[in-house]
Amino acid sequence: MTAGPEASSTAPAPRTRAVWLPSLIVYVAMLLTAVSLTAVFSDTEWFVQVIVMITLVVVTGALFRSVPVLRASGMTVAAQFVVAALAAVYLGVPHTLAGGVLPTGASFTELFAQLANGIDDIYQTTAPAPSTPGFRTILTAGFGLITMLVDGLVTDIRAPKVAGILLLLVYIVPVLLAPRELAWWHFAAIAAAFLLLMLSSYLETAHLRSPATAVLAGALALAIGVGLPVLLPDVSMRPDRAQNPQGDLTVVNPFLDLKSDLTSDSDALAFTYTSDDPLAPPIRLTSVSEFDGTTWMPAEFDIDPFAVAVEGLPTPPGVTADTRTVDRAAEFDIADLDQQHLPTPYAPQGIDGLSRRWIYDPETLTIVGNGEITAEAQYSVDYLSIEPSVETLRSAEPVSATEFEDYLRLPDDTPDLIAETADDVTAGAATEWDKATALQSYFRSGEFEYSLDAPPEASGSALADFLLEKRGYCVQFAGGMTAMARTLGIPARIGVGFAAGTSTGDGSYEVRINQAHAWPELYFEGAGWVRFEPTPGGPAGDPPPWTDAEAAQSEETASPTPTEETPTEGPEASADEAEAAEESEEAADSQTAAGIAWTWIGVVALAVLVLLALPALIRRGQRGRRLREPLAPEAVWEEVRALALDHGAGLAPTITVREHVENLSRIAPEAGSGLHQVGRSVDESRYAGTVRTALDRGEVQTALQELQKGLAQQAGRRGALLARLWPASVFGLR
Amino acid sequence: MSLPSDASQPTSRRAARSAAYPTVSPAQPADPAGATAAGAVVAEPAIARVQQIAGAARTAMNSVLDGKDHAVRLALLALLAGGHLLLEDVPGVGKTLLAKSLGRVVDGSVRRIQFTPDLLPSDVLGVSLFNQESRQFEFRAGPVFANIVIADEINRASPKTQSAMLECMAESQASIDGTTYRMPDPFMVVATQNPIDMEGTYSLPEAQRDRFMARISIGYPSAEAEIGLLDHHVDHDPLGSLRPVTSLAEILEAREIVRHITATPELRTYVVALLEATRRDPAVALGSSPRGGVQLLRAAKALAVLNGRSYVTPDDIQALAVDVLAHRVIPKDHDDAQVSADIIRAIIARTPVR
Repeated sequence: MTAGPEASSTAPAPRTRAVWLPSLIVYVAMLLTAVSLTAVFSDTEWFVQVIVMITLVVVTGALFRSVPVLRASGMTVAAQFVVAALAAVYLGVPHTLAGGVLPTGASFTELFAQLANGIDDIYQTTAPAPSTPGFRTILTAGFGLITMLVDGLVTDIRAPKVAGILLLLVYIVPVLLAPRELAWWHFAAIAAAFLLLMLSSYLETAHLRSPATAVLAGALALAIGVGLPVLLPDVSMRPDRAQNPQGDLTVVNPFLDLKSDLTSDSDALAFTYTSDDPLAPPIRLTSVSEFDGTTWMPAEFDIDPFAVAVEGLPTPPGVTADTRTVDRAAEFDIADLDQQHLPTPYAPQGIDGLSRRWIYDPETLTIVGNGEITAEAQYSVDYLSIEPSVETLRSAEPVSATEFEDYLRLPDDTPDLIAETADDVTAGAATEWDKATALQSYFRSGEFEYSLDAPPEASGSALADFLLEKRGYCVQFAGGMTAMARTLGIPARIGVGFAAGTSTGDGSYEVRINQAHAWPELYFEGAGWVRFEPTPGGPAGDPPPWTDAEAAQSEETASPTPTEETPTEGPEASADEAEAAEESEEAADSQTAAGIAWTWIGVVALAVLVLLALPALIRRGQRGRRLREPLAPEAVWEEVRALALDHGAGLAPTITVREHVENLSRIAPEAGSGLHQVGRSVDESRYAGTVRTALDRGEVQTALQELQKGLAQQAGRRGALLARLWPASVFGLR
Repeated sequence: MSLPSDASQPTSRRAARSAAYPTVSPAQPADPAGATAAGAVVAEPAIARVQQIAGAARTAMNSVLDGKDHAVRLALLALLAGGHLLLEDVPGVGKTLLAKSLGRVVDGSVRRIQFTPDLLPSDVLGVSLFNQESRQFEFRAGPVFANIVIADEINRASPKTQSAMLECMAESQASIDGTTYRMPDPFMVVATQNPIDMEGTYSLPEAQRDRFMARISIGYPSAEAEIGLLDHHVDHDPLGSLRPVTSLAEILEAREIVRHITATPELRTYVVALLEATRRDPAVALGSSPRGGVQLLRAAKALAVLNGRSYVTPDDIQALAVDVLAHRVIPKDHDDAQVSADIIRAIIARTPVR
């Protein structure tokens, strides 16, 4: 099969787009989020600074993910942080720079002072307010942080849901602070940002031919998405995730990683293992079986936390007693591989040395970490090496089409060429097995060339292109054979993992990231899922013995002891190494894992911050409502009472307004005239029937600011801080 | 505040609590001042004029009564609010001087009645004499027919005479031999009373105390003021230099303005809450009468005007509550001005303004 969108002519193209597209999505989403905040401010000066900040953070992230040297450093998040901090200094406190260029210690002191000013400003203004330097500093710093988190969540962790929720949290700010200024397009902006993130996985894999179609597709997706927001999360999560109905366990599709970073030249050691298996089977991570015309993805399965791998796995499906199997064992030592899938030979029967959080899917025998990754893991695997005889395979009955519907399904728009080619190639083959081996022979016949330059996307289906161009790599070979087998009625899926690796001679093998591999697995009654090897080069090994009709003939007489088999991987793998260097697993895996941990810490920290900030935000919203135009005496008075209560000096209900005004004026003499004005208007509204004292907004604002200063001074440092962060009046005025 | 804002609709709880009195609110028609509609706001110039009159009177009186501003203020308030004043103090601190100076500054007729145990009602009200020439009875008005009547040591008179005096105060009229004679307008009684436990006194009954708008005590002057007093009062008549600063007509006009000061339902609710509290207070044997509320609101209206406002606020109520209510509550333990005042202060401190 061909790798859908990635099947363009040159290798760098897919890689570049794979990195830049999510970054672009994050960029647009963050800009839209910033737009939704315009409701809070009366000017746009802050907006420019926020755009600069978002741009810097996103570009830094994209650079660190796309340039190999930088990516290898694993410093993406750190680099983004440094850039964001510098940008905050340059934008917020440029006057502190030494020589106008170098940030000094004073710069950061000043930056924090600005942040504090911003918090003050939050209290002393009502929306829509002009963006003061303090506001701008808070906004740029905040957007820098949120952009980093969203970028990490979308690009590294592929958790756009969480990122979307972060953006919605940002939207709480205008909702609380400036409910009256919110227009429909503020909501539209944040909704579009949310949708964009939800759709990001689709946009990445979509069939995008030109920037114009990309834009069109994006716009269309948005338009559709607005109408179907409820359906979105499910749909968009599906391509690279196993669904867990109860929780949030997300499983990255290794197949997508494999093809998206094929040209990586990383030869980092993924893992080593020791095994005495003469067949040297590839090491499997999982299998993918669902094909939508562009992407292969794992079938969804319900993750059962009680299917614990260390308690043993069920026998592989379809294997009957009369099929020859050999019990074997292998010891794994993971080096640079951070995966949620556990590498094992097929079919694993028991795991030792891992936690109970590794659980299995009984159908594919895929082992997945529930919150665990493979990093540094050491474990032994007991596995059943299924070595069916050619007789068994040849005599296998055709399977029931309904029972294996999932493994026979092809999209309706699959080009006829595939079925036609399959029929041509297998003409004259009598049994299913004969057809399967004919397909394998067809791919290995020399007509096909192993090449990392995927066929150019000329015709409608990359799959058909592959059959015409006859050039491709393991993904295309495995995909092509799987699709063709399905047209012939043979259940088929793609195993994903690593080639057997390089033998070090003492029974252990070294597997490198660039030895990632994919192969077809076909189902035969009695033997279960049987591995084939159509890829004629690269890291792939020789075809397994049961797929070779002639070898099988001679083998029928010979006693099939495993030791007779020569492990061909050793020499071949090293010979292939130069070429294989191009085909690799995601090199940034370790970086991703570190990123995951840090991003989650960040998310939790941000959530805690938001929760902590909530009373202050609500307080600010209340203040905004109380100070609405036109000023109402009682509302303003409520704010005065709230301020006093916040600072631990609640106003007793038995004291008259005038007395309160006198008392407060003593605390904050500067507020006196404004407070008297307020007090008079309150008295009039209550006791004169008509209010004749007009409240002057400027005077009231000054009075409230001065009052807050005075109260803060009286309350002491701690009291003043508490009044800011945890204002008592939020919980009721009395 | 748990009371209904419409105070004329008493709740059953309130009715039960105030069983000693028929539940009457200050807003009742019986109170002409309270009946003023909130909409009819008194104009600023009118208030300023009253303020000016009162200010001048106050300055003039203070020049005579050094350091007695509170008493002076309250006397003026009572005059403007149409109430009577009860001065309770030891002899010789200036009770009579206060009353006289009040009469002098408003340019009204001032009469003084010294109450003694043998004073008869006719000595106060006047008598009808048979004129031999015209062969008709002629009424010879007693000393009570004056704008300001100083009832000195009212508690030394017999209850019968006291009651004749108090009828004049309550009704602004006197019935003598079947004929009703109206008092001049304005008519204000400034009664003085020695503390109850002094010898030769008949305690003023609660019902009669209730007729006074406010009870104040003048108190001893400060040392400084007393030196000035010795310097001044020994040589010349302090009242000699006092000139009228206003006229009776102006006082009547000012009273009319005060009557029209706004008291919103919310404020009346507060007044009623205070009255209720006096009746509920465990330390009180008998709480304030509804008349107390009426008087309180009237006085507060006058105070509002003096403060330059066309509406009453709780500040006015609180400022006057002790002076207006204290003599209307009877403490359980010790019927003493100080104890009553403390009770009222405590009530103010615990009754929510709204």
